[in-house]
Amino acid sequence: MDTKEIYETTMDHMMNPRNYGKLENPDAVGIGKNPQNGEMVIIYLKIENEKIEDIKFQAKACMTTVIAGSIFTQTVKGATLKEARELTSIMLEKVKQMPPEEAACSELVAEAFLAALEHHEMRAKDPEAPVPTRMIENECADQSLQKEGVENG
Amino acid sequence: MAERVFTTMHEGWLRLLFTSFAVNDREWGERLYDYSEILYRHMRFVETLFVEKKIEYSYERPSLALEFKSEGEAARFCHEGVEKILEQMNESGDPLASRIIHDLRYISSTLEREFEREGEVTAFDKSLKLDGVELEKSSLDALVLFLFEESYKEYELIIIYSYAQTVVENKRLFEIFQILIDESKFHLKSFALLMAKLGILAVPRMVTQEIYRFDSLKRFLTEGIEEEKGAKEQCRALAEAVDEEKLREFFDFINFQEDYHITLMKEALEIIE
Repeated sequence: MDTKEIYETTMDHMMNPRNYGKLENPDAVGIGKNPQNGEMVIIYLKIENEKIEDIKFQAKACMTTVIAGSIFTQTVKGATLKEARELTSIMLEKVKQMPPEEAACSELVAEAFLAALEHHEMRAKDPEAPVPTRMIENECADQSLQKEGVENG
Repeated sequence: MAERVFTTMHEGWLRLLFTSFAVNDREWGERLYDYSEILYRHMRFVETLFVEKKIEYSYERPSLALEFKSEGEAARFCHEGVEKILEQMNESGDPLASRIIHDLRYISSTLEREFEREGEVTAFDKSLKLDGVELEKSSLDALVLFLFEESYKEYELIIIYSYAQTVVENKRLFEIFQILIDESKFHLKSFALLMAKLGILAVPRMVTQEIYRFDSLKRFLTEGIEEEKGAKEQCRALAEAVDEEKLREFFDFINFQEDYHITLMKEALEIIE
């Protein structure tokens, strides 16, 4: 994908985020949270025969997180749980190579998804299992900017 | 059923509102904007009724994509939204329902007369040109991100303050929220018209219950004041970053407008403390 295509794809996801919203009666739910500023992503899953039949997400976060959620959910929809887990690992590896302020948005989405997978496993043993929350390690760009603003007076 | 009518009214309001920003014929666009305001008020009248009767409703809604290419298609898009509401309204003899149905039938008939419009809609063509002028890349990137973030934020504030009006009993607090709704509507309109010029107009994502049904009004206002300060800073930075005089003046204007919001929110905070 060249720079122009990347730009157009990003713009497309900004204008029409895919899979944004809630699922009625989801099989699993997970939350990814930024402990520093309260930003969060919630992922809802419908799972059938170890396959992601449907996925939705909500974000109380910046636009970059919404783009990441849109692209991620579009990619894993229809995948097996094993494939989706592998994809998430690859994504988290890529996140490690990014500057922390750019990594936080993708990490929020990935951690929310992993929390939803955890919830799925927990519910197999206990249908009333609470929704797990996973915290991210990176700091988002907005916070870095805010800090800069403070430091620069 | 009741929740469905409310959601359909919400969607109808957004269809007319964002179409009003999308069309190049600004005279027609302003008329659509006025109609959208009527639909917003319908939604709020119904909300008041639901609150009184303790009927469940929600501001959550499905995503709404804008895909029309001509003004004729835009009129049909709006017409479909109005007709959906009419389908769900009962001729029960209730005076409010009768008034709403009367308004909607009139708006529907005026929209039908616009079906043959041929004007092109360029609000979603991703041209990224402002009045035919290409902005410098870094200015453009900052502007695009700002417009997406802030158009959502203004829509979110309209929803939050609308809902907040249903839970406060103090008259001055209600007035403050109304002023803030009107201010956010103006900001949303300003940002959306810029987005339409750039070819990137879109309906913001939905505001979830977890966001608009705040647990603590005090915390919401305190955090809101900080967010307004952040928005001021963003406008100031953007005014410095954009290499275009009219845009610079516009963002300076928005920056100083945030001062009203901060003052009003501080007053609201004093009232509840």
